[in-house]
Amino acid sequence: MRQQGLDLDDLYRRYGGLVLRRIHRFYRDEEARDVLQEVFARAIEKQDTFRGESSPGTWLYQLTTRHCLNRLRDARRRRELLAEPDPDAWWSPGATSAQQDKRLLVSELWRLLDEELAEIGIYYYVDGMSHAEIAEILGVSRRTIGNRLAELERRARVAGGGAP
Amino acid sequence: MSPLTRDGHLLDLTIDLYMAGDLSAEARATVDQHRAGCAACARRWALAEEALAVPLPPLRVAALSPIRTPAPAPSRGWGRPLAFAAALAAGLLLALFPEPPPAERFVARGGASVLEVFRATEQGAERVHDGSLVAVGDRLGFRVHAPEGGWFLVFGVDAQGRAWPAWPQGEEPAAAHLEPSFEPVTLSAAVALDDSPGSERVYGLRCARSFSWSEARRWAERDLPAGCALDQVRLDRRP
Repeated sequence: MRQQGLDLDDLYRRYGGLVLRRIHRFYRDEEARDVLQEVFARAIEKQDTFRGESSPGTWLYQLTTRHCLNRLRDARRRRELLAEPDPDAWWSPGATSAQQDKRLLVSELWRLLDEELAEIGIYYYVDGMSHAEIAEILGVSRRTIGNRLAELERRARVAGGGAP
Repeated sequence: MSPLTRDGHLLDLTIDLYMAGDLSAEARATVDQHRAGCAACARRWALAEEALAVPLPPLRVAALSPIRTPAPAPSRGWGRPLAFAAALAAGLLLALFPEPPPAERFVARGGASVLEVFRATEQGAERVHDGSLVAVGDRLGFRVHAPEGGWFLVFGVDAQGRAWPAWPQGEEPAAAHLEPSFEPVTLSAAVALDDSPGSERVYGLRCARSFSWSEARRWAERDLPAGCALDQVRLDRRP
């Protein structure tokens, strides 16, 4: 089915697995399959945001991440995601202890974060992306990402009892 | 975009894009080199391959499209359909079409079953049979039987003889190919009925070879060739 340049069937064939794998970072099994349908419905709604500057896979990855985060309104569930003890669920092969500490600190902030900041936090602390990669995915400047991460860490310090 | 994390390992996204064939040659070379020397990422790679080998569930997303583009003809009272079309264009009527109920056995002209038509309800989706009553705004979804695969086109013709595509969508689309499937295939398309008067006939046409829109239109009326099967469902308007 062709919708203003995006072929939904083709997208699903090529990237359905990618999207489902990403969803499994947030949801398990049957619920993940429901979310998969939601993400592709969202893809049709949001197709005008795909400008061909990155691959459709990158666009769907971002769309999926945002959709899952929006769906996770429950702050407790978000905290569980970041403090996930299962190494395969949030697997970061090179995570250092300092990064783990930061991640836990951020996990305490979930209920305070807006969706954009939560999304940036996932890319940075969980996926291990650089400022440049996050900027590319979100279509904003590296400086914006740097500022937003600084804001995230400032909130973390305040939440941890430190100076702002 | 760098294929590596800040710690120098493969990004999850990199692994997925590599497997989808979306990485540049340069990025692929970086990935291959890293995989060869990193046991941790090799393990993640194997997990990703395992996950991507699992068959995906059928896509149930149905983008509602107007049954046709209404022409401005005030004498026929097109005001409402025009507003309806505008809403569609704004993407306001996109929806998840409910999962249809289990398939029933039926036989099409040409000797093989082809098409099932469903109407979305608040409770899910219900099968609409030949002679069923429909109303303006009803959302219709489609499922086809493709045990041997082949080329498929689902379309409708209104009481004035105007044809509209259901699947594939687009302007006068040609048939699309489906792989053999023992399970009926729910098509990723749906239509919303406008207020054209009279009955609608919905056709499901399957052929062993590809065929054009104009061929489908002709064969629905006459000269159905060997190797093709045709189903028809007539829908009547509620008074």
